[in-house]
Amino acid sequence: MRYGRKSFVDRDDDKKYVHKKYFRLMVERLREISKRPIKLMEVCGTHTMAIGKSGIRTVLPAEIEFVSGPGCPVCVTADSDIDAFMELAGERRVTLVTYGDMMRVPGSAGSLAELKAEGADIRVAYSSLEALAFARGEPQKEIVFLGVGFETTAPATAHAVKSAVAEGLPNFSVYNLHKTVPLAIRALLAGDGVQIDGLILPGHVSVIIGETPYAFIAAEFGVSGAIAGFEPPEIMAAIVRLAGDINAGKPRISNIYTKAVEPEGNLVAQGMLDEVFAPGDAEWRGLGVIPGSGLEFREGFASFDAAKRFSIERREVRLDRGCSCGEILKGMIKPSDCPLFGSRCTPERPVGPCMVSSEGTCAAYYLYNDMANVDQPTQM
Amino acid sequence: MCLAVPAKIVAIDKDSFSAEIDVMGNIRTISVMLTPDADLGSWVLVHAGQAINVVSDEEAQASIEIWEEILRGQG
Amino acid sequence: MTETIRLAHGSGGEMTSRLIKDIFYAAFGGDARDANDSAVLELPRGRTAFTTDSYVISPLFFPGGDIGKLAFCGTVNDLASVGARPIALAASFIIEEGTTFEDLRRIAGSMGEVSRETGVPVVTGDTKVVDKGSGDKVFITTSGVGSIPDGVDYHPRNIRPGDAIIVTGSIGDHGYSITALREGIDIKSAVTSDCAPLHGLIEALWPFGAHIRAARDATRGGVGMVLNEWAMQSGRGILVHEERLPVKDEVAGGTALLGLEPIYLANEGKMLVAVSQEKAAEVLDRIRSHPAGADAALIGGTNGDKPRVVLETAWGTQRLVPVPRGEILPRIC
Repeated sequence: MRYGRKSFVDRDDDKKYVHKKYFRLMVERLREISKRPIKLMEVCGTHTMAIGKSGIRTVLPAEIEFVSGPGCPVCVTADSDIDAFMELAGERRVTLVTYGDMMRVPGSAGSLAELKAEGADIRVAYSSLEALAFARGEPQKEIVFLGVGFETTAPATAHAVKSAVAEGLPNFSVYNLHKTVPLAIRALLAGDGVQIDGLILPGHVSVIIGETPYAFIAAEFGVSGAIAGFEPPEIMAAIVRLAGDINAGKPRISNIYTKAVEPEGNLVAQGMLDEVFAPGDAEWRGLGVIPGSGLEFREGFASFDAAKRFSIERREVRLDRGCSCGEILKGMIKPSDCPLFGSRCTPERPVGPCMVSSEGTCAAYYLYNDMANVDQPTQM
Repeated sequence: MCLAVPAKIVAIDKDSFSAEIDVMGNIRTISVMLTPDADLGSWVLVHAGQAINVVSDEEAQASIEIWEEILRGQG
Repeated sequence: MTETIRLAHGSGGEMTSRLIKDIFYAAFGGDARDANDSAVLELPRGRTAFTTDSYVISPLFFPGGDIGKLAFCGTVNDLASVGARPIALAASFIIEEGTTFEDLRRIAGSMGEVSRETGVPVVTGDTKVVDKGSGDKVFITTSGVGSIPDGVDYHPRNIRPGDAIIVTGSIGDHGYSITALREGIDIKSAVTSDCAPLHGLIEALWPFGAHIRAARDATRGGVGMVLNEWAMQSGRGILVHEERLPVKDEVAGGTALLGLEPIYLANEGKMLVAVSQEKAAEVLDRIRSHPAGADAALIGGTNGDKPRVVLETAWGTQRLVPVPRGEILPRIC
């Protein structure tokens, strides 16, 4: 048995040693080149968590500020959508199968977890294929898979639907809430929100979509972006690259995650997405409706659209929780600026989705950010 | 939004796009529909039950080269 | 003999007597002719430890154990946590109508087996049967009494600056194997629950007296929970080193796959021990020489006056280990 936390880089001790070395070098390099205050946004919720867990903030120069973006599929799910799938699971008595991430997010009538405690048949799955298996094995039940996530996750849903078509599975459908990232980034940059100098771009979304969809960030908005992996040296490398680009006044998009991201992305996955989905409008918490940012089922797959099958009406709901989740998702304010943060809204008793989500900005901030107030920066 | 883990393919059935991965002793069935190049022994990134990319040792080495570039302030 | 438990089995009549004889006396030993409404014990002089716990887990059976073994070891370990030698246990069963005799026999049998192995008898108990739907097959409540020798006082208030913290073995095994099983997640793994009695290991530490400040089994909420409890109860900060946490490869890989963290997963056969800096190395050796502590590691110690738990990551940075929250669910994000 080996000790310590395992990750890709730990496959052998040599690699681990090398990666630790580079992490240290990156930290030093950043201290050398950091000149002026810059504001970076990590788009992806998994990056928010990775940054928090890795303790990177405690070794960053003080002038580098991080804000978190709308890359948390749970957080950006609109109240109207939450209420709609809650209705499906509650009143309509379908068997709702969902990724664990969505269980605790609250709508007007509570959360899926609460509904489950009241007896609704709600199941947590790790993959869309598990939902398919339920449908095959329980023909008397209507299995509805909650399709949440961005381009990394949507192909899994597409695969499930294609399989259901091929098998003629009558009792399987998807409540589709999939969204795409680049248009959300555009809306963010074009909006009158916060001034961002650089973006840490989502590593695994990029595995699917490649580099080119991000070109506009530099070309149209003069903002630099770096596609980054999730290990601390990978994240640090992206920060150093961004700092350099920003200081040089030369905006560009860099791919620092070439080991996983091809310039053109995963063409098979893109093809599958294109076959099953077409762009549609989607409502993002905080950003409002962003035309074309949603993935809707194409006509040939419409019968697997749970909203149509069960005639679920999406009612305009905007809950006033008193929380600032919307502004936080745009990076305009920090979680600690929200009046409810840490008092009425904590991970144990979350009010808004940003605190509920395992990778929500507020949750990450609450869990990991106290360290930012540490008296001395970590000596390395 | 993108928790993905590298895993080694220890069994594969290309016709059904199904594979078994080994993540340090945990065997799990996943789909390799998105990675037609994946084969027995390949390392893949797995997200929500799907392999989303094949990761090779050469590419992993390429990371180090990029880091070197970044440290030198080049590239 | 009917195959399943019926309400009548709990009504106190002949069927109840037969149930108790065929299942519980068979498992725990003892004779109906000696039975009385209470067990009578002669306890050693000095402090007596007394604890109780209820076990309502599902599934009832899991790799490495079952609810019976869990209930037995859980109570034994709670006694051990305060430095007590377990003397006797009580076990109450609330059984849902429809539970099979086979299952109940297995569960009682597990308890009987570990009872014999440890020499700690189950001396009294109770059985009730409830309507179908009122319970999750079997609920068990175990209570235990134990005796604490002079010179032994394990409590977080004893933790002081400079103290070291040891974990007695690999973390997250039980929690990981249960989560994978419970969610029906299709993961084939060799990891089994680490459910085990630890009083022998603790008794081996008695000679260190007050150098042992505190001990606690890291059950729900894992090591992360206990460390936070200790920080809050002692008023001290705690620093642990990620690199020193013993984590089985399979648990590390599987938790990465499911988005879980070993530091928050339950353990049913592991303790945290706070010890003086002076005796830390010796205590570690002593624990390692016990079969239940072979993989023990010194993971950190007290650090500063802010009652919080800090992790030094494998990267040399620091971050908080907050109190774990809510239900641990696998995630994709």
